[in-house]
Amino acid sequence: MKKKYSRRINFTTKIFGLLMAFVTLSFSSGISQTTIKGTIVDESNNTVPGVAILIEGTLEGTVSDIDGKFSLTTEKTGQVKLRTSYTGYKSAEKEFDLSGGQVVWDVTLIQDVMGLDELVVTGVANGRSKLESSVSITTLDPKAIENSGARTTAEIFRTIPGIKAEASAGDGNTNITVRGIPISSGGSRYLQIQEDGLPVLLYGDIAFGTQDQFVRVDQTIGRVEAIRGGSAATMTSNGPAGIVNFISKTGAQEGGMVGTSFGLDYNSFRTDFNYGAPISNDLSFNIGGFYRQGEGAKNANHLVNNGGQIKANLTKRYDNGYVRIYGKYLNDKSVAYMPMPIAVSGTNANPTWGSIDGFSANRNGLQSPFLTQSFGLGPDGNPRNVNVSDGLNTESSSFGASMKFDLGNGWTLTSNARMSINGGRFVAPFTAQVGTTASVIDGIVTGNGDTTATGDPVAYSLHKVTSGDSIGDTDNGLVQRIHMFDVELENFNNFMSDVKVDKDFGQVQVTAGVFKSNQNVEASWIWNSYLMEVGEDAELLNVKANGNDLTNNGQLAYGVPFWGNCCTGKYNTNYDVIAPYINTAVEITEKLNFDGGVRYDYARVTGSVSPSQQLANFDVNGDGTIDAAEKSVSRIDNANSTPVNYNYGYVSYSAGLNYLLSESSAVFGRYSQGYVGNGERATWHQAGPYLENLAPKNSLAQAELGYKKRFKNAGIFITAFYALTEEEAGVEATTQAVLSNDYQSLGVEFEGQINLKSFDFRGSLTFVDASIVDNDANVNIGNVPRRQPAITYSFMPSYTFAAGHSLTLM
Amino acid sequence: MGQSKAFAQDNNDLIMPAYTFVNLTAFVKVAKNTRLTLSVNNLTNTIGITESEEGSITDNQVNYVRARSIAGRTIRAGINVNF
Repeated sequence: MKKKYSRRINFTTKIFGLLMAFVTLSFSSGISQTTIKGTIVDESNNTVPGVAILIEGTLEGTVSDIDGKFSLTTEKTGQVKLRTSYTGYKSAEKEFDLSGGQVVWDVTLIQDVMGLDELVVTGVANGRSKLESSVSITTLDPKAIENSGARTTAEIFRTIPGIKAEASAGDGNTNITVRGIPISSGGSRYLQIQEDGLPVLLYGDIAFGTQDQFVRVDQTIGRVEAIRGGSAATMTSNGPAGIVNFISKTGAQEGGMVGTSFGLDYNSFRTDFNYGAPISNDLSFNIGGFYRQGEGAKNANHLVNNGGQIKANLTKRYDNGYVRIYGKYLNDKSVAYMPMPIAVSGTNANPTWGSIDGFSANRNGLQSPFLTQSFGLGPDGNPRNVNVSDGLNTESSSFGASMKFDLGNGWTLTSNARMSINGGRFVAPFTAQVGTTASVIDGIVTGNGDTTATGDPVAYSLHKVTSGDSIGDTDNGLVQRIHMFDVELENFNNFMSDVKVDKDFGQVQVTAGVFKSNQNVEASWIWNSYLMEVGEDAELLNVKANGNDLTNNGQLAYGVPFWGNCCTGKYNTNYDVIAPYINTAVEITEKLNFDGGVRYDYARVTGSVSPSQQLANFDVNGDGTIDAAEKSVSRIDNANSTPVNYNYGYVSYSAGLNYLLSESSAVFGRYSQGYVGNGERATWHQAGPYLENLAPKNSLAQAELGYKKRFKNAGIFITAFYALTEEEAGVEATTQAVLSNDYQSLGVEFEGQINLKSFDFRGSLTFVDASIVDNDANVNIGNVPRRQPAITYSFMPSYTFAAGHSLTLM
Repeated sequence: MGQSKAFAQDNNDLIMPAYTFVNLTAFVKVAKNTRLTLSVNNLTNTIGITESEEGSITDNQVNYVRARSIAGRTIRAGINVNF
């Protein structure tokens, strides 16, 4: 009875509410409704359908129809600003004083294929258009990303001029660099990846925890902005060479998609979805994500990619600003490709690179269904087992809020803050040694003390682990020693916040802000050694000599004795950065703009590193016997950790001038001095001399000179640049070498785009002349930094057929 | 898309050759909001070396080095519905 009663009450309330709403609605509409009508055409007087027309500061808007006509009815009165939005065209805007009745607004859109008139939001203090900003910036819209056919985040970077991404590692752990500024020890030390305006990680070169691991590109991305050099030095911490910002859709216009794709010649399946829409006149949302499974682009012959993400945001708009909350859940396992055996013949100067018999250089990786587990002593010394198919396993939950408000009298407040709970694992086989069977196994036999009176290795037998069968040799006469890079990313949580205030004094604008970040790096490295064939579906191998096993199920050791058991250890460090900054923009004349900024970074680093200890005859698997791999076992020595406790600070600055040559062209010049804090690369978990010679920062000085021009249906952007990088030190994981080089690079990058009726062309070309100018050992001076080509390029012609089909090459 | 040659290591000895590769993406509009996609990555199945642990080889013999190449040719098909 009770239930029924309350239901009836609810029903009555609803009816009443609806009635009231209806009455209110008809009442208010009765007094002030304005209809804005018009037609949208391009410069050739062709009507343009699909153009969004929006009342600024609200979600009230409409879209032009097939004849380019639109009609928008609003209850707003007084001053309102209307704005158009359409990719590839300059936004048109006009203010109206609404007081009911009908208003006509006919618009002629001007083509802007490179988006030179779009507002830039990444790495600049004040949102100006590209044409008015003294920085080099590239925008990629979803169509450009889609047309590039990029399979991974890293592959998207290849379409951005000046950026070189070694997109050969899989979905993450990519080495990325900008304008010849070196890839010192892996990752991307000088380039920052941001998601919706905040850094994904505080440092770009954390070993086995790179920024690109924590970002997945999917249909939730509205656009990608990539700024090179310039003001990045003062607008963020640890990204002086550039920022790539992945900006999410926010549902200002209703739209969605569902897509499924699969590999025709490889095992891969992926589903994407995205939907965004206004909920009311001032509230909108977007939600989207993906899920995928498969083997990756190289034949792993078992499931190595498995996971997905979901992202959502909600935006509330006010007359003078907006508030947005956003979140992401990413849980993905993806294959990580490490350097692997490849054959090279010929000479150093004229080599021929190719596949090894039975092992394709570009269609095979080290992942094999016969090497599926990495078993060893975990972070706390207890046995634990890891699936190698976890690969690059990222788990990230993040939640944030951003807002922007016009406070009146020229004051604007902007804030963005996000916390992320990050963790996961990195587990990937790496070839530590490859060679003919005898050349590798002789060393293993000798190392075990199985030598003849003359010191030669004794006779041995080789067995496949699965069948136990003795084999004379492997199929291609090669074997490899695998080091399993097994790293638990226990805690990579971070907090990022950027709060700033702008004051517009008319010709002078001042921005002052504070960036605050706290980043954990808690990672346990637990590495193992295996003996394996070289080939697709490679099997593990056992060796016997003098009647003894030298391996256990293909495992040579718990640890990496071939590298002096370097690499079992733990980082447990925390980086706390606070960076106040101030930026001034001055409109010297109508055509000449100045902007300059100063930033002070202060970091407090605390925590500990734990080295490795060797345990003799330790029964890891608990079977009561000591097998070959258990004779000397590496374990993290948490009892003998070394404290990490240091501070660093530095002042960065940047200043630029931009001169408008005409309404559609400009030149700019800029000089910047920036720094990058050395994160965990300043330390080494084995402590020792690395920690004593702490070198917590690297310097980057950059000068650039650029020219940009918008044509009727094309655009170009040319920037000449100079960069001097002075590195203090960094540890490279694969060689355990401390690298400390100074580099200089000089170059030019070109970016161009042309948009004819059905033909579209986008291209970029970067020329870099880079050299090593100094280092401690005084070697290789004057040489070209490793892996730095003189020229990188991408050209992307695209043709759209009348029926709507399209074909793009890149 | 591609790059000119580069040295494998700072000693400037072993060369990683220049390489160019081509991706192809086609969309076929089958209905107002529905597109079929076909995308071919690395159409010519090019080997493009991006890094090598070894900075030198012994001339005029087969050397086995540890290196990474861009992924070979893969072909994907899909269907997208926009609404």
